[in-house]
Amino acid sequence: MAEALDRQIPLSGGGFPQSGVPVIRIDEEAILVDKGRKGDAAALESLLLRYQNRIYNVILKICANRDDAAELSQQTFVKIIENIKDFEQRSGFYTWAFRIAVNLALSYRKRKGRIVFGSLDERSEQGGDAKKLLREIIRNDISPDPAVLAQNKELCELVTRQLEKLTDEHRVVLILRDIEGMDYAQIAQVTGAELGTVKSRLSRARDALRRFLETVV
Amino acid sequence: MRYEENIEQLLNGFIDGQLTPREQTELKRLMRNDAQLEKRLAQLQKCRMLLASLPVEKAPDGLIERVGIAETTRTAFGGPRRLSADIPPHREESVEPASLRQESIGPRRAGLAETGESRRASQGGPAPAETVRTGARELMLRKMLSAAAIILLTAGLLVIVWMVVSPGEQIPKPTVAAKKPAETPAAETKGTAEKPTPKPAPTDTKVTEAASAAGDIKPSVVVAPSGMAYATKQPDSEKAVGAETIFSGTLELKANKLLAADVALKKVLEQTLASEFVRLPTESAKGSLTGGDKYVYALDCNVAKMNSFLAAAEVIWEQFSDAKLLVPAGPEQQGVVIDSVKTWQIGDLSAISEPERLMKAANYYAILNNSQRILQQDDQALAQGEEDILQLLDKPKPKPVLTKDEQPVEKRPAGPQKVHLTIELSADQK
Repeated sequence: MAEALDRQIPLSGGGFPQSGVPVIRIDEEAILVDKGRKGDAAALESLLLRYQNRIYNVILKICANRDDAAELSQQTFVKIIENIKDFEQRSGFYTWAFRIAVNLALSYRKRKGRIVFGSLDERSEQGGDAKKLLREIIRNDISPDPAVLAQNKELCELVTRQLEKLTDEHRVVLILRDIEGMDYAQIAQVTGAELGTVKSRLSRARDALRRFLETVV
Repeated sequence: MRYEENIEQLLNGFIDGQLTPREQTELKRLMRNDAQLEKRLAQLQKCRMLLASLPVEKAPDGLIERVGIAETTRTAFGGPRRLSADIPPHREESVEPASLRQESIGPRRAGLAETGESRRASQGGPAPAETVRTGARELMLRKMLSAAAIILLTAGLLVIVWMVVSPGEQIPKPTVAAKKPAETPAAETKGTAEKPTPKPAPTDTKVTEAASAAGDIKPSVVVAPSGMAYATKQPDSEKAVGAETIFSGTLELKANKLLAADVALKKVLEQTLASEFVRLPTESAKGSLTGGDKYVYALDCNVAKMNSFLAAAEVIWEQFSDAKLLVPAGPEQQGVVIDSVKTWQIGDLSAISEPERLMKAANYYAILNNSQRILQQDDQALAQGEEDILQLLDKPKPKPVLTKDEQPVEKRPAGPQKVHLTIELSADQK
């Protein structure tokens, strides 16, 4: 615990914390968790408020539906409140909370079946510029600024569609690693998989995404 | 394939900064020799960059407020429990999606997510404590109904079992052929050959109603295994209680010298059976000094004594010009008359305990004796012819060869089994 005190966890954003993003020190989180375990509603609310965007976004990336993501986020919050007294702090709070969120989202996906996506061909005409940009990024040796890319909605949508093509297992590890910025051990804790399995899944997921993107361009 | 996977994992580890310095050096060395590898690494880095550049959406407004943190916390930390609060306790290392319940979702969209309490609150339903009490009452009622149903079912089952195993009620009542108490054994034996009495007791039977007391005139009823019943001779003493009569027949003997044969027979009977036979009065004996032209003896003894009597009677058997055994009809068989019956045949038959086998054996002996009588006549002719031929050929007469006795030997049944034989000795009128 002591050695983790200096770790800083971004409260919002992906694996590339931008400047100005508020952070919560681990000792502050531990205090909130302690209070929350004793039934302090204010501490719990504070914790949830800090993580609600991240939880919502992870669920959204998995289930690809905003309404469902909101409901599953609420369900995650209820679950966190109901079970935090049993939380033994063997892992970080946000790892534990993400585990609940990811499991709920995957369970929801299993109940609802595969996501029905719109045909990419239908969107191909709309995303002509995005495809051109993507082709340049993939095939040429250019490295655009992520902030600039994030502003191109068509490109983001195109990438999101390719992400949704992956299997649930591959999509989850990619989201946790490349969007949430978790390390392998945290991904293993969240998904309940072995470390080697995480590495293998991540490798295959990236390779699959690379091939999907190449197919598009 | 394994090599490719290793390379792929090395590339990904490099991107994620998870490689050790040695692995990083190794990868750089590989990339220097393989331009494609460097290109793949660049593509993977771009993929990662694209994913990282995906915008982060802001959670909908009021997402947490709708959960009702204060209320949910109060419920989770010892407040009035919701009926839906039977969600299994969360364990840090095993949050299973299947264990999650729809009831615990906030009331954002009707039909998919709504907490139990929020639903009750929105519907103006009863307070949680009251709901819990109502639920407890319903639960108790259900338990009581279940217990009552189980008791009723058990009682019904017991009644059925009792009906099946209770003695007497479900067993088909045997048909009882009652015998007049005043009827004498002589009357029973009279006309046996023409109309066999139902008295013969089948074998392997059991006495279901023995004479319960002295002077009780009720006939004992013997129930066969199949449920058929016969009247048996009224036991004269308690000695007879429990003994079953396995054979009953009438032996008609004829003798040229009636008195001599009767004396010899009576002597044998006295020597072997002592008091287990009686001499019965006959119509022809009335007023006759010599006892008339017919003597009747009734034998009631066990199989062993019957065999003793028959063995002893073998000596005097030549005095009888004819011996005929009448095996009375069984319940489903016709009576059998065995002509020229031998003592050993009577012994065999008296030891057979099964009615069907008894009748079969009796038939067999009847046929055998008739055949022998016919063949005897031919044998006499053949023997005469053979002697004539041998005399002509001047050859010695072949010696008789001892052959194995092929007659089946019945095993004597154990237990107090009795046989009844009525012997009618009369003069040969031929």
